[in-house]
Amino acid sequence: MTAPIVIVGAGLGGVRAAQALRQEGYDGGLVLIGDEPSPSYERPELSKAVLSGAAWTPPRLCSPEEFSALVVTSIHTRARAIDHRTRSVALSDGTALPAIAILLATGARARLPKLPGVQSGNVFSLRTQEDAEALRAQLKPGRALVVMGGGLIGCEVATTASALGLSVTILEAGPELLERALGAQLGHWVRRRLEAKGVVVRLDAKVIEIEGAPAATAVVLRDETRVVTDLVVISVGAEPVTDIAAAAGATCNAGIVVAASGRTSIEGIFAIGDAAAWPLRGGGRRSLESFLNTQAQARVAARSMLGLAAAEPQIPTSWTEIAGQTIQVMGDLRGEGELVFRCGSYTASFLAFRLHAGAIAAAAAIDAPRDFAVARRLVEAAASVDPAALADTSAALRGFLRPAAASAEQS
Amino acid sequence: MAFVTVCQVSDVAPGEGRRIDVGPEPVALFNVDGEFHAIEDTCPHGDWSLADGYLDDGIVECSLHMAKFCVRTGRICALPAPRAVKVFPVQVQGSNVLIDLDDGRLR
Repeated sequence: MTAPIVIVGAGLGGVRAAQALRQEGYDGGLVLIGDEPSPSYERPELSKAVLSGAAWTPPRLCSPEEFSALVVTSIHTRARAIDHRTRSVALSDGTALPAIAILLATGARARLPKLPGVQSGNVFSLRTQEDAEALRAQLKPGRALVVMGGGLIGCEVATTASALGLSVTILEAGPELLERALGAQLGHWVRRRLEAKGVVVRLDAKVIEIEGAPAATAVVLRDETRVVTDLVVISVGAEPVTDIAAAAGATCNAGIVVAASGRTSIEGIFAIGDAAAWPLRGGGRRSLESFLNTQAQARVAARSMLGLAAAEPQIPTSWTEIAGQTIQVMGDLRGEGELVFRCGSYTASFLAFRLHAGAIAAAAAIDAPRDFAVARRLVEAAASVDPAALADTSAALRGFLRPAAASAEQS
Repeated sequence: MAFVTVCQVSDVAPGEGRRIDVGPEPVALFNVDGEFHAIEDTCPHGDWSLADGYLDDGIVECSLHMAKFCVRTGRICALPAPRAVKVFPVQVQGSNVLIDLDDGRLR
């Protein structure tokens, strides 16, 4: 009997890869190893509807019927190691599982700074359903919450907690919120929105200690300020889970290093999602921590594992909901070139583009999903545009996608 | 079978969609190069109006999380769609577009 394809990690990447393998016609054995107790679910809602209690559990990645139609052998355990010579996965119970190909979709874990007090009670991080449930139980109106780290998850948690009636303070070590995700200018705009909702934001706030035992009571900054609090959420980034890949000898560098096909440095072993440092279309490679990119990578890696041609450098694409705004981004808004705003700058709903060398390199939409659908295509096409024309809302955005169609519309 | 007039042909330009809110559930009406098709409007993934989506070649992409559906058959064309969407019968009579808003079905 031929050995199965073994997928390590039953989150978004693992499940989407299983779906893609079946869709591509693979009818051999398929093993999905996951260490979380609940059925595979979508993580983005953990910081939003699940945390607020609007949804008791996160949305499932696929229905029970669809999951059973995938004919997957689900193993609820942790993969302990990979033996690349025998191409097998060692499980925590000592079993060795031979594979024709191994896909690592092991995700990322919350980064925990090395500070006194990070292990105290009432200090949380947010990656899993279990994390969200534990934090949700403590989000009571009137309590004080300190969010360490003003990135996407930190700002989402602040939004949810502030709407639930907590007093929220975000401590960001850098000069602006969301700089990595949105760039400083949009980060500034989002900070104003959060502040208008009553969230206190401290920038350049370097935490040196979480005080209080057994439970946290204050966060101490380098300038000796003490921020008194009931709860602390640590959201200072994620670390790709590379342990078993690295131990097997796969090249890792802030993620399991892969080609645009999902291949690692070891024949027969592939990696996707937050665990993988995947090549970017604009050059370089990194873990993208993005739902949409992980889905795309799962499709690509599934094809690669079946020996079909596949290579897809990624353009980072994500969405978030902060301070009541739906924000969608494609590409990196930081970087060279100029930012062009459409719909006037800093109105409630607008688009921001980064233009570099006359072409659209990145786009963000604030409460403008319909326009974002077009903006994304402009980024994908690296469309050449005139900045003044792009800012002019009297011309349809679609026109930049299909210049011929646009001139026909205007006549 | 109860077809009702929901709008005029000229209300929905080719390549565009329109949300129809008069029936028991919202319906998304699309004009695919002069041909009209209707599907359930609420994306089963993210609770978002598909009429607000991006229509290309008879396939609508939800503008929130990019699930895609065929507007003719309701079938899934891209994840994260968790299921197909219902299709509603459409008729064009003169300048009127009619939909049987009670007869949405999974194909």
